[in-house]
Amino acid sequence: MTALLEARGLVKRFGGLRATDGVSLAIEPGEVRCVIGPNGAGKTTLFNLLTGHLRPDEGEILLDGERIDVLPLHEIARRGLVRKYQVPSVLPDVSVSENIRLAAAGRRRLSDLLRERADDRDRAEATLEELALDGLADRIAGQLSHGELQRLEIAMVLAAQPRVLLLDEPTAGMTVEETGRVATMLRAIAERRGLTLVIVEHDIAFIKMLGDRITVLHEGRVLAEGPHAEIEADPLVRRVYLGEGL
Amino acid sequence: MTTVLNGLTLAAVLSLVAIGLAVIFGLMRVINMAHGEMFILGSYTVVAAWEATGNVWLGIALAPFVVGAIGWAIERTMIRRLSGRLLDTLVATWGLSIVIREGLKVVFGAGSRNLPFPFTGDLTVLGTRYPLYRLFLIALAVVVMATVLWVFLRTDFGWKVSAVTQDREMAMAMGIDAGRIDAAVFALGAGLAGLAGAVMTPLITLNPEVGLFFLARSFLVVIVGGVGSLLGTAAGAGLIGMGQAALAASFRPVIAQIVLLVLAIVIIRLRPTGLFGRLQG
Amino acid sequence: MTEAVGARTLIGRSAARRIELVHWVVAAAVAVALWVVPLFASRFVTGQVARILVFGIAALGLDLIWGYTGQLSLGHAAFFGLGAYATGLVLVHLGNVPAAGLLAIVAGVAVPTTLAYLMARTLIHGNVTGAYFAIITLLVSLILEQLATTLIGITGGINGLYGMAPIRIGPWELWGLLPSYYTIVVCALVAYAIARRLVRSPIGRAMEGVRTNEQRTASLGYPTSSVRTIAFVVGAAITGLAGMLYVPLEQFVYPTQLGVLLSTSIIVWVAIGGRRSLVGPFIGAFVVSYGQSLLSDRLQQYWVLATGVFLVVVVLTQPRGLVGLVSTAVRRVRGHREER
Ligand SMILES: Nc1ncnc2c1ncn2[C@@H]1O[C@H](COP(=O)(O)OP(=O)(O)O)[C@@H](O)[C@H]1O
Ligand SMILES: [Mg+2]
Repeated sequence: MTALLEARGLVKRFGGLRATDGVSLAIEPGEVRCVIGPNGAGKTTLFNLLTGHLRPDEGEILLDGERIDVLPLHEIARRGLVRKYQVPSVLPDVSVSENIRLAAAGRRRLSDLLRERADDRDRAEATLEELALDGLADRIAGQLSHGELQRLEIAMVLAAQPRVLLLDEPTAGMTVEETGRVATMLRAIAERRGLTLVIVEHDIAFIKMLGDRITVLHEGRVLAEGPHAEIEADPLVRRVYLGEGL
Repeated sequence: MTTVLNGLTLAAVLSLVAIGLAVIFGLMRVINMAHGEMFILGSYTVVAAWEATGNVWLGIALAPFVVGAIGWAIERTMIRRLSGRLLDTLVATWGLSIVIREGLKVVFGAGSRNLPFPFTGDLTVLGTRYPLYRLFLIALAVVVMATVLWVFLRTDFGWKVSAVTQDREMAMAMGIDAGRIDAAVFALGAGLAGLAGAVMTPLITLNPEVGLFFLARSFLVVIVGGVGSLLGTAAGAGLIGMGQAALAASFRPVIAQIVLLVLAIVIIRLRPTGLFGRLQG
Repeated sequence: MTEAVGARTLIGRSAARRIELVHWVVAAAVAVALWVVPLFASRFVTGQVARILVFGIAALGLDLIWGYTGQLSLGHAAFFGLGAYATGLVLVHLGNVPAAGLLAIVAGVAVPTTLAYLMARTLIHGNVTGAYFAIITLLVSLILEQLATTLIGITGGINGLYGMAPIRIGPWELWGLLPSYYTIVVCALVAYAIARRLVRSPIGRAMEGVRTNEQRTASLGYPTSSVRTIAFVVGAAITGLAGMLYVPLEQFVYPTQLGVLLSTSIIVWVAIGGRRSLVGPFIGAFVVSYGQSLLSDRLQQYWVLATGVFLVVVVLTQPRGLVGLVSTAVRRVRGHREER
């Protein structure tokens, strides 16, 4: 089976720092991959590279076997690679439902954007309910709490109908119940839609619920990769994570 | 040769005006649309002093301080309240420029006036006779620019300015009062524009609308020279001043302006940081 | 997935449809009221209303750009004046050509639209936006004003264009107060409808996105440079339309229609009426023009000064203008009612 999303030897330097230092990664279609690693390991930088926010200094990125690391931001999203930011990123001045409707139409051609399509609107409303945001539909997004913002952004990226969804710490700032609910829901949606997920997380319970495989990043390199039982037993990983409870 | 000297004169004045625009933008991300009015306020300081005492020098000496104080007050009362809202600051200072321009019309009348030169006489430079006052102006600009460079590059104040320009948060964490730096730089920029306006008074047909044209040209200087780079501003002023003088010698002024605008657009397309600006980040 | 759409949202949709209906009923009522103005009002008042509507259309164009995408156009009168000059020049120099009337109208919109498109292509698509873009629009307007004053042989210089042949299309003559008035009312409505269509479409949402969170908008798949370009070109076209309409109304084209003062006035109308509101520009144009007409002759000379003061005060204290003021007040009243 060929990989849906593949990174080959990615390097990103910030001055003297190699934030990403030769990362290779292959994500199968339908896979749920968790990326873990201590703060500053380069997880967000990896996501920035994969989604075109940063250009790699070395290496290449392929989606469906096609190079995407040369495409502009919106082209990458149009090909189905959509990303949720670590710090929730929404449009603060418009309502929750407007935000989701914006996301739902994002992959349409420009010429189709003069009128909202009924199926986009239906999908936006369905997603609104799936994430239990219907009570907040008319609230201005800028007034939401951090947890609500996280849920809104997850709803947005889901409504955008991604093929590969990248989630950067999606449950940070959520309560334990919220986290559980989001994990269950993501699992269900991923299975129903055949969605491929790449998730940066710290929450171990969350990872065990979701992840098929785990990639451990450390100082810009892949330290280990495998199913979580294997990763948990890995002495190198245990050393890096000492005191972080794995 | 006269064209070259004319270009140098214009470049000298433009560098004095544009330096404030560029440094303020680099430091505070603020574009002061009333900057042309700082220039013109300098001119009218000379007018007022001349009408009161008959002395042109007095006005020239006072102008940088009067206008600097006005700049300081603008920063304290207006710019500060709009921090982080770049385009709103643009609109508000644009409104302010109208207030100043129209206020000057009310006080001094809308008509144009010509002031006498503080001294006359020509000097022969490389075989060309050229007015002494213009040569004085070029020399003055060189001295002032050198001083400004020294202040920014070699003094404690200059070090603080560049610290705040590079990373405001970090500078504040190190105990630099960024607000005071903002006000001081704003005052300095305004004062230099005021000085430029003051020394230019005898050379121009002065009316309250003139500021706008100096603002427009200063923008071209900043676009070409890049922001946050003092030498870039000087070089940009040289290019625009000489270009303007060269083009004006053979074409209508409006054609010269079109050419310079197109040039500026080509430059920002090819090098967004300006010809001489440092690439950051 | 459709079965997940619950009853609540369906009700939400019918409520939205009802609001939409009410909105268009009100709009139709305003249109009818404007239509009958000439029957009751003096020629002077009719002319004033026509002028305010033209200003409102011009400001609507800027609002699409500045209010919605956050891109200030400091020299927006360039598009107004270019519309007026394109129409005027056709009438003066090509007045006898067949279909000159139609050509004049088309040129009045097409020329400013083309300039806007060229500016967007060279600047926006090269990532020149924000303050630099705003300043370049200002420089463009300054240069156009100077061109109009200096190319005396073509433009009539400072005296402008006058003595033009009327706009004629077949038997219909668009010239003088009443024909202009009715045309302006129709065009105001059409421009409003177009702007509303755009703003409420997904592109309109993307315009909001470009203003408040460009990265998020792009990373959802929107080509943000194209979104900016659409807003800028449509906005410039609408302002150009206003300039075109000014010609048959005033029968006179002059350089200041391209210049700084009118650019500033357009900004003031939008700022005072309220950015990000489509009725705001019309309200702003009305309030400002009406305010000016109240001033005595002696005070007229301070009008421009007052304009500057308004601009400063509005930006400092009420960035969303009159419409923002009213909607905040309404929300507050509603809030109180719900508490009881
Ligand atoms: N834009 C940037 N400029 C300079 N350094 C950066 C930038 N982004 C990230 N870094 C550095 O790269 C390293 C990796 O950061 P990041 O990818 O955010 O880590 P993580 O998400 O794993 O916590 C850190 O040392 C961080 O300081
Ligand atoms: Mg991170």
